[in-house]
Amino acid sequence: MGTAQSDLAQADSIPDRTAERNGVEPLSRQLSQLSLESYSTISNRSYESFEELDFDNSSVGFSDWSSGSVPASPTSLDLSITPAALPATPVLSASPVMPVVSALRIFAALSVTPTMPTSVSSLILAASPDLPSSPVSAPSPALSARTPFDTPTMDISIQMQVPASVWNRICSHLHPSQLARLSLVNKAAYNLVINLDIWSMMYKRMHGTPQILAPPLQLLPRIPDSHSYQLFMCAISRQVCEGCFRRCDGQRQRGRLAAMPLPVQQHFPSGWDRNETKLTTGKEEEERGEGWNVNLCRNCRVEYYQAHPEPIPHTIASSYLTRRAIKAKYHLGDKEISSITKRQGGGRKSKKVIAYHEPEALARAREAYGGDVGLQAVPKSLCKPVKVMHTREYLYELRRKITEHGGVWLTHDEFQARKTAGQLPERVW
Amino acid sequence: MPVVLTSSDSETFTVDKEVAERSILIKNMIEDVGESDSPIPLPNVSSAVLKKVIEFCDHHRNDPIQVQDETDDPRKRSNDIEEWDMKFMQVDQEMLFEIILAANYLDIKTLLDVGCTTVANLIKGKTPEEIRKLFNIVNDFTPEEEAQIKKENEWAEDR
Repeated sequence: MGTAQSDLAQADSIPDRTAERNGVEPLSRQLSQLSLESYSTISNRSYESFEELDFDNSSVGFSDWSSGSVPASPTSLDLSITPAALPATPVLSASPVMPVVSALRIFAALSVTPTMPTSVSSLILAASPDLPSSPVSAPSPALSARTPFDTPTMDISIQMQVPASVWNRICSHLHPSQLARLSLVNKAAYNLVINLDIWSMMYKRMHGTPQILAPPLQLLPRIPDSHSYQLFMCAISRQVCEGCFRRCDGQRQRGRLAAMPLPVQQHFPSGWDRNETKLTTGKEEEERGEGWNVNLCRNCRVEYYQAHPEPIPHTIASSYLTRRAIKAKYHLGDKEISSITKRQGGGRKSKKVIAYHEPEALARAREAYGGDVGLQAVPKSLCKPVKVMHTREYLYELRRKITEHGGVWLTHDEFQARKTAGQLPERVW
Repeated sequence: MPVVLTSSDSETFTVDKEVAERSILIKNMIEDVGESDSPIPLPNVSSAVLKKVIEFCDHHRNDPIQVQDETDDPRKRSNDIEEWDMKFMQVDQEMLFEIILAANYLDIKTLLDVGCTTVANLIKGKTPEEIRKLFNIVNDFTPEEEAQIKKENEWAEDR
């Protein structure tokens, strides 16, 4: 962890320049530095200078203020994510400090603890924008102690010099599933992803047309809005099409599961020869295979497969099937089958069998269900994915209610650890 | 009327005004200062990068200036790059990010778009481990944190 931090710390100088160019307020920058710094302080308890910080639960917010908000500290940690650079949200003034709290909250499970750590409340206190004036005046002696720790030891990694606005632009080209994977790369990437405004935009688009917006989301308290939206969108991700951001329920529709977002293999843009680029090695190329999957709803799949038609397998190229067989295999209706080229079979006059051209039936079924992946999904049950979604949506609501009432949302591991340590409160209900 | 640009390592480049004005920064500078023979210093851009940027601007000198189409809608953002631009962007990673930084600094929207699309195409379809390898990033999550984030940020993966 230390190396990555110092690596990031080095990157400070250039985003600084850009931030000034973009007219970002210096105070908000300090706030964001502060928040990220205190984040690292909390998450890294083995900090050398920790004892000097006079750390105890009740004073964590303030001790971090004094060390973190010293102006123009050249080595202060800047993860090149300045929340202030993001488009304005109603909580912008408080949002820079929010990652701290969210960091505490991320790792959470189901328990209401009245004995919630006081650190959280003091941190929330610190989030009020008028606070910086008092602790800023006294630079902490801890600063000198921690500077050597933050001294960069690695080469500057170039991508960390890129300002947040540019990373936002890059992320706007990515599908949400890819953003979810990007957030797992490291802490900087995680902070980048949860602060993207694409999540709230997706939520607003969820109910179809821009005119009919989704009802406002009930946000989780004490974390940035975008993070709430991100958590919610990920919770219901099985229902959301990555192409049009529509929320599909699959009910009352032919094929049910076929109408839901299903993985579609994407291909790299035409002419994008991965082997020729010097950016990746050939080995990675082999590992990843041809393309990657993106979940698309039926309409988006139909559109996609019109642009990238699937080949018709040779085995059925000249095959003819009866109406019954076509119905069973391709789930087509009578009208659709009637429009397929047919052939009157030989044999005796009274027993002439009408057979239908199979490739044509396949093409129709692909059109109706959105490609082979849709066709295969037709007979499958919708129950399991719907159940998963409902559970996850319920957990989001539960988390919101618990945190709104001042509780802590713990991970399963943390919950078990507290349980064994006997730190869990008695059940109130 | 040619414009003289000076890179950070004080190499000078003489370019046509219409090429230089692909950069909004330089355009505004010329407007502010007025026409003069004195070179325009670009302390944030090295000569190697500036050479690439000028190559790009020269190729796109006749393109219509893009009106601001800041659509938030990623659906409308095309991920396809012109063939020439793609060839142009086939450089090593450091150079790619240097070009993006320079485009951001010089305010050349088309170049910034091409650069960002290129990086996005690199990230696309990669697992977190592959992205770390690509950008040479260290994973600073603890296993518990990673598991938790994986669970929360999961996007419709099959379990």
